[in-house]
Amino acid sequence: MRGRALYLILIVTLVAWASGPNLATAQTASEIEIDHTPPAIVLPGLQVNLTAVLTNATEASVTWNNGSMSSDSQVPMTNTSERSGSGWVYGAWLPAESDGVQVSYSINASNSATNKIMSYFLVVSAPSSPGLTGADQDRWMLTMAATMSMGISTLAVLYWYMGRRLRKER
Amino acid sequence: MVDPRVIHSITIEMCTGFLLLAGAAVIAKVVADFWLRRLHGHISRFDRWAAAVSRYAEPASYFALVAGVLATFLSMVTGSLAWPFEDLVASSTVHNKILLTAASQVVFIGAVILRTRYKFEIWMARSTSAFYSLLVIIGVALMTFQNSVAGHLAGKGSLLDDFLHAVQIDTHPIWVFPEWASVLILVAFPLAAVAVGFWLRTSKERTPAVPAPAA
Repeated sequence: MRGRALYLILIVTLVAWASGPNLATAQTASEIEIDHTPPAIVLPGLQVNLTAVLTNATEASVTWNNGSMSSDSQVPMTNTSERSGSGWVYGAWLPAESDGVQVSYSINASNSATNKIMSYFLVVSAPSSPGLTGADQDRWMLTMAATMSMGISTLAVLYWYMGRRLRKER
Repeated sequence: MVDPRVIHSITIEMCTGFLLLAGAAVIAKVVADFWLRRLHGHISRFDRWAAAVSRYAEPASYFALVAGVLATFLSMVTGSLAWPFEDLVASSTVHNKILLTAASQVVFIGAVILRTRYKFEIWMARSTSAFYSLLVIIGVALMTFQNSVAGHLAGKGSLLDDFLHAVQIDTHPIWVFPEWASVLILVAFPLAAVAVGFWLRTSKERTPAVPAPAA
């Protein structure tokens, strides 16, 4: 039993020694980084411009689906020749969508040694109305307080009632 | 960096899953107890199943309830991080969703407090078990409703849309009580609760002690 355990430890140590330095070297040499934030405002009927800063990538593409497509579509990302930090800015356009559509997409960046995929989504929405007035907000706060009061009072009654009922039951 | 909206989606799945499990387990427990009380002895196989369901569904519902309440708090935090504050303040649908979430969370926290305080005994009396089950089911209904509103926020719509249209519930305008009604509820409900609590206390004191049976 002890001999088997020692044998196992030896194998694990050998594997770790053999693979560790190589992996570390590969990671530092060609680790791909994707820096991307989905656009905050996507208007219906307009193409969507996606940009990302890719580090150590030589090629990139965007795979996307608007929820009604039977299979994902792919568009290439183009290097805009604009430097940003240690990476390059890549860009791609997605087709226009209608209001309310949610588009899920992933950026796939690769180089000769490895690749990296990051997933995101965005929602197409028409510009919102000017918003709620201060009076609306006040009335809503009052409604919220009333709802909480109603709920907590009902629960308090239930708590006392159950205590009394269960004491009777004992 | 993972999109905060993805993390929010994950936390929503977690709390919805746990709370639905709590509701399903409570319903299973009610059905099993009904069988054991009213139909016991009719079909022996069902008797065994009902006994097993009654035994396992209760702790499962309690665990799922606690986990669901905690996950809901987490999803509130991730939700506030996922959307710009200006969007949250400006949208009436978001206000409706927050109102429903808060209401369902209060109901679920109440159920957790009751179950924690009275433990398994809560199932020993029919009235207490009925009130507790009703509380959890109301919480699940409110949560389902708020998820439907959230579906509109995400631009995906909801399976409940047809039902909501049929009962003429529009999730887009802001839901508010008239000011006088809010003030009335705010004052009247706590006063009524205190009055009922006082009445329960005094009626207990008035109840004559049951004489011990003669030896």
